[in-house]
Amino acid sequence: MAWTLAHSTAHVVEILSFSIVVMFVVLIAVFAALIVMRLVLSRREARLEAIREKIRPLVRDLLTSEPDPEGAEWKAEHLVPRADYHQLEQVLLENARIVKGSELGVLTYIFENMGYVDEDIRNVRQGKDFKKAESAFHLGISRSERAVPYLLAALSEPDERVVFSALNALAHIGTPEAVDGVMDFISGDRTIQSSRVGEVVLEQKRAFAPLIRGHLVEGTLPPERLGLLIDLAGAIRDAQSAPALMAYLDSEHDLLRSKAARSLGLTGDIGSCDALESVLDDPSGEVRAQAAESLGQLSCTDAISSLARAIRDPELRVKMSAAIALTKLGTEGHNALAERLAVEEEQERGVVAEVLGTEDIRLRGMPGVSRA
Amino acid sequence: MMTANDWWGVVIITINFLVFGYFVVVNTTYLGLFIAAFVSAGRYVAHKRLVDLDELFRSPLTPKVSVIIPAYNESAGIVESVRAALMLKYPRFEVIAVNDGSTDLTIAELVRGYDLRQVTKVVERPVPCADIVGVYISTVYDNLIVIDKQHGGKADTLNAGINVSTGDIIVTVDADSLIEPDALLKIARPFLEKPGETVAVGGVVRVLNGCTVTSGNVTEVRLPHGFWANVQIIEYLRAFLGARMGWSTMNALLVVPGAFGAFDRRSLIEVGGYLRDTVGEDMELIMRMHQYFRKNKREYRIRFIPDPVCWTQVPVKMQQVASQRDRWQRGMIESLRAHETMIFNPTYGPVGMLSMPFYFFFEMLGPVVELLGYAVIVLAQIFGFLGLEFLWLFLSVAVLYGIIVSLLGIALEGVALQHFPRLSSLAKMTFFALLDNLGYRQVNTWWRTKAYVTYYTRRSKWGDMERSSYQGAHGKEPTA
Repeated sequence: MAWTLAHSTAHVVEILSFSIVVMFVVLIAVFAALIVMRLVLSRREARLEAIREKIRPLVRDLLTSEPDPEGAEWKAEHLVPRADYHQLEQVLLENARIVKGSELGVLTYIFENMGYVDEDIRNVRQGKDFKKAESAFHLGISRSERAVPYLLAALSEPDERVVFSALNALAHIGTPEAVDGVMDFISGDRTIQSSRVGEVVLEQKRAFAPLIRGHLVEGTLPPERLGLLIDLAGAIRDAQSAPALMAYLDSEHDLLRSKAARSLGLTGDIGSCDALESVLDDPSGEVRAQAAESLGQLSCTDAISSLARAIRDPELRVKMSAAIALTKLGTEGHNALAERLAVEEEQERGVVAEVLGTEDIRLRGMPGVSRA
Repeated sequence: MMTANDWWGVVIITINFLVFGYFVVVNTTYLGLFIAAFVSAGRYVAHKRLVDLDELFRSPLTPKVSVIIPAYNESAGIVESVRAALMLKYPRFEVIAVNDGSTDLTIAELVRGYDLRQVTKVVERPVPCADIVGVYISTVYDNLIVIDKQHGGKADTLNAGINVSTGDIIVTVDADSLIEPDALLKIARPFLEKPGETVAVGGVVRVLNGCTVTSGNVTEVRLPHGFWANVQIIEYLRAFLGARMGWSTMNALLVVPGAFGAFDRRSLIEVGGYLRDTVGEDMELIMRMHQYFRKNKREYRIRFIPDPVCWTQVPVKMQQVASQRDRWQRGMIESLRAHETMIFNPTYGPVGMLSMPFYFFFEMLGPVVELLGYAVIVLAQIFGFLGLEFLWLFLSVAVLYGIIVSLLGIALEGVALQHFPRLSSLAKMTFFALLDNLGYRQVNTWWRTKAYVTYYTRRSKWGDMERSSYQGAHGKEPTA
């Protein structure tokens, strides 16, 4: 019986064997192809890197010795063989990321007049998604103002990579039209990557500041957008946005109140001290902690007694923020903090001991400071 | 009328075909995961060209990171490990080294290495941990905190670090591991791209043995000498790189490695931190996260990205490898048993329907089935129940298919990610891919089967491993 069974399975085994052999041959071929591809690619990359290595000193020399953009462009066009123009573009992009001022102006001129910008614009309009994103990214680095309308149009693309590259590029270019476009997008309906927008806005702080203030004053955007703008106002340290931010300390949304308290500390506007002091009684612990931290950042010495009271707050994070803030308020703040060492409540005493002890050790590590 | 011998024949042939089917499914699943991993790696590499890490570094909206380094008897390398963490490129981060009641000089080395001073610290305990006996800060580095606590195991140690941390993102790094200087920027990126949605991100863990380390950085990638370290490189590529990238594309990843993982702090606390009574704390945590967020119908994402590299020393002695595999298998058994209600439960989407069943049937029960298969195929040959054709077929699927899958792991490394720059390394790895499936896999199967015994006798032990400094790891002094 077993013998018969073994024979009846032989046919199945044969079919399986054949299919497996075919599959293995295919997979081995795939592996071999991948390895050959790796070989070819690494050799190609080494060859291209050697070309770029030759071009780098030429470009460096061009930027340091040729202030005239036309002359620089002429040299770039004639010193580099046409076949290596793509590698020249890579080297120009490398340099455009790090240079500023007139050197960047020279590079922008070269990008525009050697056809690189036209090619990237063509890709942004007609390329596949990744090509669109990559070209938009390059247009931002090359700072070509000619690209602005095409980049604005790219903001309505469905692919997130294209949109973010276009946003990034517009912020780098920074013309009023570009900045308006970015701001319209930030305040629009589309889902955005908030922290990456922060990277974008920082590129052109001065241009964005009045637009952010405008939206904060209007206050008509949905809470999550307002939260982002409040963060941005703090991130760019825009002191003029302080009055608008103070209004958000009364918001019905906990998140907006805590973001406003944090951003006010970052703006450096000492006129915010009273408003921040008043929210040390806020129902949200997060808001109270942020307000205490900001009072320290702004060196609000008038808030010492309120901060000393805040060390008795039921939440540890508020106690800690208040204690740290007091260490930033000079001798008077220190004394107010040291007084709390004598209190009975264990956590409160612990927080004060921690903050004073930590500060003492940190100061000992600083050169030229000696403390008993 | 069938005789007893006939019945035995039927049983053995049936088992042979079942085991054969097992190997087909397991290796084909790996193959599928590799295809997904290739696509994902290609996209990732292309996407990198559109990202400027310097901009992220400059942005004040970049969230603060707390790097937690748990340490138990790590006196040999803890100072270097912490130094490497302190040298990371990231705008706002703190390093929290947590000594888990070591019996060696771990804490003394840290105190000496960083001029530590003990401070009073009030610590809240949003997640449970053993008593903290001392908190130290450094007079040299503002962003270093060292915690000395009673021994409680790795999960407990990580929980202590979470309790002390103040960052928005928690990054866990093993004390015997090194992370690349820009790894924090890279691992933080998914949290920035999908804030609120990304709850955990795993980074790729690679083998440090053989590499040259200079000032806490890997400056030259080379393959190590010796059998055990090399086969583990192949194992890491097959199981940890290819498979995890593949599962990640379906948001069905079950492990974010403890050696290098990043978590949204709020989410981590919301799910209760690490479970202390387990040796598979990293896997258990991810399963619990899937369960919690799916159950509560929350949008979430657990990702694996191949770029932020963490280098780790792998054991080089057979007994150490055996002990580590035993612990991993026990961890997997514990985690899967703790969350068995998720298996084939459509509430949990691809996690419940794909990755959990795969891990349950092929990773957890797999070693037993494999071992049974090897035994039964020998019996079938001895008693003549199946011909040599079937033996060839069985070995093709069990060994040759496995070799091909391992080769694809090497291809993924070499072509898509290009982490091994030398072609000679690729050739050597190809050789070890053969040994991985023809020898190592069978031994590993035996260790993993034995883990079922230790599972009932030695639960929650955080195994000891002989540590060496990084210089010792690659067998020569670092180049200047």
